[in-house]
Amino acid sequence: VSRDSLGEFEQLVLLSALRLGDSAYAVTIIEEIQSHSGRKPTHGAVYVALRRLEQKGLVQTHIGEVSPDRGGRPPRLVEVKREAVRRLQESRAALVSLWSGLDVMGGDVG
Amino acid sequence: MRSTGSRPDGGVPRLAAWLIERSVEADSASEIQGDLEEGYRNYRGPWGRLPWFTGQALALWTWVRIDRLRGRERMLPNREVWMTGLREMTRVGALLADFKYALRRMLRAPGFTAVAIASLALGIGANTAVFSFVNAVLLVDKPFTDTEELVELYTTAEGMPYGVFSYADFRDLRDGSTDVFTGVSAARFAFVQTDIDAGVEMLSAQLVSGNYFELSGIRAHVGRLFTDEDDVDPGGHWVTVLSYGYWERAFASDPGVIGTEVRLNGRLYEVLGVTEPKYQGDLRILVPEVYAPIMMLGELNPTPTDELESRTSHSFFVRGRMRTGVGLPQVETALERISEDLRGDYPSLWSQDSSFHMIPTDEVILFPAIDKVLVPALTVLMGVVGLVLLIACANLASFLLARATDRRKEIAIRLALGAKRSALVRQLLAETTLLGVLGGGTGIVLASAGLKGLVNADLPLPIPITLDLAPDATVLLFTLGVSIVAGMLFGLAPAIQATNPDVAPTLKDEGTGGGRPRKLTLRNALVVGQVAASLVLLVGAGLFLRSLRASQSIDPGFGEDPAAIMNVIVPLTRYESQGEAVLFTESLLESIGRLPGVTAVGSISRMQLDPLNTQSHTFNIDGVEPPPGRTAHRVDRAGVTPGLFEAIGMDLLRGRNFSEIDAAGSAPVAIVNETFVNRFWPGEDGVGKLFRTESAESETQIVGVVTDSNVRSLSESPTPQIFVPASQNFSTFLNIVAKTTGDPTQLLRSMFEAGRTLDPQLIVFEMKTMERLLDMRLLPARLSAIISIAFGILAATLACLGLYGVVSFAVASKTREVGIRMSLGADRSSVVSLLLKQGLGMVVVGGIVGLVLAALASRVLSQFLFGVDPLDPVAFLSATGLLALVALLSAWIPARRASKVNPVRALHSD
Repeated sequence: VSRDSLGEFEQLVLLSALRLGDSAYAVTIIEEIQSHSGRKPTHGAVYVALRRLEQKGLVQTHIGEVSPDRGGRPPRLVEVKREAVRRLQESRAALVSLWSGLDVMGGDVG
Repeated sequence: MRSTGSRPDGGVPRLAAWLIERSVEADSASEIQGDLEEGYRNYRGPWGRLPWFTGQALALWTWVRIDRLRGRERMLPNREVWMTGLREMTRVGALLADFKYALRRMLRAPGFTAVAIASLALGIGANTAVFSFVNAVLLVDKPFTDTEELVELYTTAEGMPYGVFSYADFRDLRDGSTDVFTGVSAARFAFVQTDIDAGVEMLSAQLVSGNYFELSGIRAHVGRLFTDEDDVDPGGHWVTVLSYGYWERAFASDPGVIGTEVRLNGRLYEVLGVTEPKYQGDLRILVPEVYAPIMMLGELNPTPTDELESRTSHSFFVRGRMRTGVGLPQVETALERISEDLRGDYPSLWSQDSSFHMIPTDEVILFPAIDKVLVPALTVLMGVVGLVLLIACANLASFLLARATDRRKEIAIRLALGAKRSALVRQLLAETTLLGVLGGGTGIVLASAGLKGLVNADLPLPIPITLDLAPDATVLLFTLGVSIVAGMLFGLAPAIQATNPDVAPTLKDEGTGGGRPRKLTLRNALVVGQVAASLVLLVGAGLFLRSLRASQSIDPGFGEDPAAIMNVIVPLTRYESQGEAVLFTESLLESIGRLPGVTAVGSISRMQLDPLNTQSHTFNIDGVEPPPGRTAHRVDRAGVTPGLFEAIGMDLLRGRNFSEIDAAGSAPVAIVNETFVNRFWPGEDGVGKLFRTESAESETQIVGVVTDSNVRSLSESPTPQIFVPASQNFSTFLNIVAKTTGDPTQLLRSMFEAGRTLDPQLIVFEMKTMERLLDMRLLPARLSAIISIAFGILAATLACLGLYGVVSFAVASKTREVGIRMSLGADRSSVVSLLLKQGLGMVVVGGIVGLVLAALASRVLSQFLFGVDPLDPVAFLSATGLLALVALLSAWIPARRASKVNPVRALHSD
C-alpha cells in the first residue's frame, strides 16, 4: 500500500463524512459506518484515522456548536476536501476496473 | 496534567476520563471527551454503559499509541535525529573546528594547560612505565612450542618448596624418567667475561644441556643450535651459541660470524649459531647473551668443587617434556619413585621430606618463588599508579568544574540561542581529550625515556639486568586508551554540568553569593587526603635525600684514594698446581706494581662491601663463650697479600703486616680489625693472642691490628673481621687492588694488558674503579631517593592543583559576598585573608593527618635509611614548610584575584 493510496477504513470514514455533510463528526461517522457496513469501529480508530486524514490534507476540521448531550463540549466537525473526493473516485475506478469481467462467487459490479 | 476537561460530568468513569486525557493532545481532549460522553449517554448496547466507556477509552489509548509507533516507523524522526547528530559529530570539519577552538582556549590559559599536561604526563607516564614492565614480564608468551607438554621441575626440601637441581640429581632424574618424559633438559646461569678492546665485558651466559633447545622447541636464526653430541665430555666442547640480541649488538647481525671464534673467559669458542629473536632466555629479567654446553661449566664458572659431580651445589633449572598420552599424575608417580631412590641412596642429602616438585611451564612466569611476590607486587604497583592517575583526573575535573563557572553564562546563552547540547559537550570534550592525548604523548615520551635511561644506564648493579622495555604496540595501545579515557574522565562531568540545559537559573543569575557552597564536602575530603598523602611522600623524599647525603658522607673505612680493582680467576684446572697458581699471582701483582702511577698493590679474596661474595671463619677462643646455640664464633674473613692494606686504604694500628715469612708451611697468622679486639679482648692490645679452628686442629696467632672498615653494607655497625695471608689460604678468586696517583680507569686498561701479557688466557672477570664500587653500594639509597623525590613532587603538584581548584571554586561562589564586604568598606587584605582562611583550613587538617601518617611510615622506612633518624626534624620541617608554601600560593592566587574584582561588578556577578 503506497503512502498516497487510501486505506479501506479511511475510505469508509471519508464516504460516511461525505454522506453526513455538515453534521459529520466522530459519533455520527461511527453510526453511519455501522448502519452501512454492519461493523462498529471504536472512537479511537476513528479519531486516529481522522487525525491522519487531516495531516494528509484530505479533511479539514472545525469546532462545532455545543449540545447538551456532550457535557458542554463542542464536537469537531469534519469537512471532506476536494482532493479526497478525487482520491475516492480513483480508488473506486480502480476497484471497478479490477472487478469487471470477474465472476467470483457470482458477483458482478454494476 | 492538562487542565481542559479534566473532570467528566455525571457518571462518566474517572479512570476512563483520565485515560483519554493521557492519550490525546490537549486541544483534542475536549471534543473526544464530548464524543465519548455523547456515546455514553446514548448507549443502547448489550454491555452496559460503564464497560463500554472504559473499553472505548482503552481502545483510544491503544490506537493512539499504535499510530505513534507507525508514524515513527514511517518517518523515523528519532533515528534521523540520531544519525544527523552522529554525522555531525564525526564530521572532520566540525571536529577540526572543535580542536582548533580547544587549542585556542588552551593557549589562552597556558598555566592551566601546562599543569594539566604535566600532571597527566606524570600520571600516564607512570602507568605506561609500570605497564611496560608488566607487559615485558607477565604478558609475554613463552617462546616454546607445545608448551602444554612442558613441565618445570624443582627439588623440594623443608622450607624450600622450589629448589633448583644439582647436576647429579638432574642426571638421575633424566635417566630414571624416560617412561614419562621424551626428554629432560637442564640450564644454568653464569657470568662469563669476553674481551672488548683492551678490557673485558661481563656477559650473562646460559649453560645448557645438549637437548635443551630441541626439547623446548627453540630454533636457530642462523647456523645451528646444540645437540646431544655437543654436551658429552667435561671440558671438551669449545662451542657457543649467541643470542639474537648479542649477535645484533656485538656482531652487527653478521651471518659470517658462524664458524668464527669468540673469546670467553680467555679461551676461544667456535660460534655454531644464533637463537631465534623471540627466545629471550628462561628468566626474562636476565636475557642470556651467549649459550654454552653444561660440560664447559668448569671452564666458564671455575669453582673449587666439581659442580658436575656435586650433589650439594644446586644451580640447575630443569624442564621435562611429557610423552604423548602421559598426564601430570603419571609424572608425579615417576618423580616420587625417583626421589624415593635418592632418599635411600643419599640419606644425608635427601631427607625424608625432600622430593621433586613440578609445575606446568605455562603456569610459571619467572620462578615460582619470585612469581609469588612479583605478581602481587606488580598488581599493587599498577593499582597505585592507576590511583595516581585517577587522582590527577579528579583534580583536573574539579579544576575544570571551577573554571566552568566562568563559562556557564556563555554556554547558557549559546544553549538558549539553540546550540545543540551534544555539540557543546563535544566541544568541551575535545578540549579535555586533546589535553589527555597531549598528556599521554608527553607521558609515553617520559616513560620510554625513563625506562630507556634505566635499562641503558650504567647502573652500578652487582649483576647486569636485561629487559626489553621498549614500548611495543600493546603498550602504545594501552597508553592511547588510558589517555583518551583520562581525557573523557576528567572532562565529562564538567562538560555535562556546564551544559546543563536548565538554562534559566544561570541566565537569571540565581546563584547566590552568601552561605556555604554546597557539594564541597567530597572535594574538601579529597584535598585533605591529598595534602596528607603528599606530605607523607614529601617527608619520605626528604628522609631519603637526607639518608643519601648521610651515606655519601659515611666513611666505609677504605677506598679513600683512587684505585683500580680487577677481578681475576686462577682456576686449578689451568695451572699445574696450587704453588704454580700462587706464583702466577705473585708475578701478576709485581708487574702491576711496576705500572706508572701505582703506589701500592695487593689482592683480597673477598672484597669489602661485596654482598655476593662471602667467606667466613669459624673459631674458638679460650675464655670467650660462643653465642648461644653455637659451638664456635663466626666472623667474616678475607685472604690478603701484604700490599693490600695500603692499596685499599686501611691503616695498620699495631703489630706487623704479613710478609714473606708467612709462607704456606709456616705457623698460621692473622691480622684482625679493631672491633675484633674490642669484642674478644676488650681494653687489650690483641697482638699475640691466639684462636683455634673449631676442630682444634691448629692455632692462629694475631700478628697485627688494622682500622675498622665496613664489611657487608654501608649501614652496618662496626663488624669484626679477620685477614689471613693469601700465601696460607689459597683462593682461585682474587680482587687485585691497585692504588694510583693517576687516572684509575686508565690504570684498569694497563692492568688488563699486564695480565694478558703474563697469561694470554687469563680470566679477567670484572674491572672497576674503587669509586664505582662505592657507587654500587650507594645505588639502592640513590634510587630510592630519586623515586621517592619524584613521587613527592608528583603528589605535591597534584595536591596543589586540587587545592587551587577547590579554593578558586569556593572563591568564585563567594564573589558576591566579597563585593558586599568591599562595598561596605572591607579592604582588600582582609578579604584575601578571609578567603585564605577557608582554603588553608583544609590544608592544616590534611597536614596534621599527613604528619601522623608520615611518622608511622618512617618507622617502616627506617631499615632503608642510613645515618638518619626516622623522625629527622629537618626532613619533617622542610617537607611541611614546602607544602605549606605551595598551599599558600595555590590558595592566595585565586583569593587575590577575587579581591581585585570591582565591587560593583562583583555584586552583579554570579
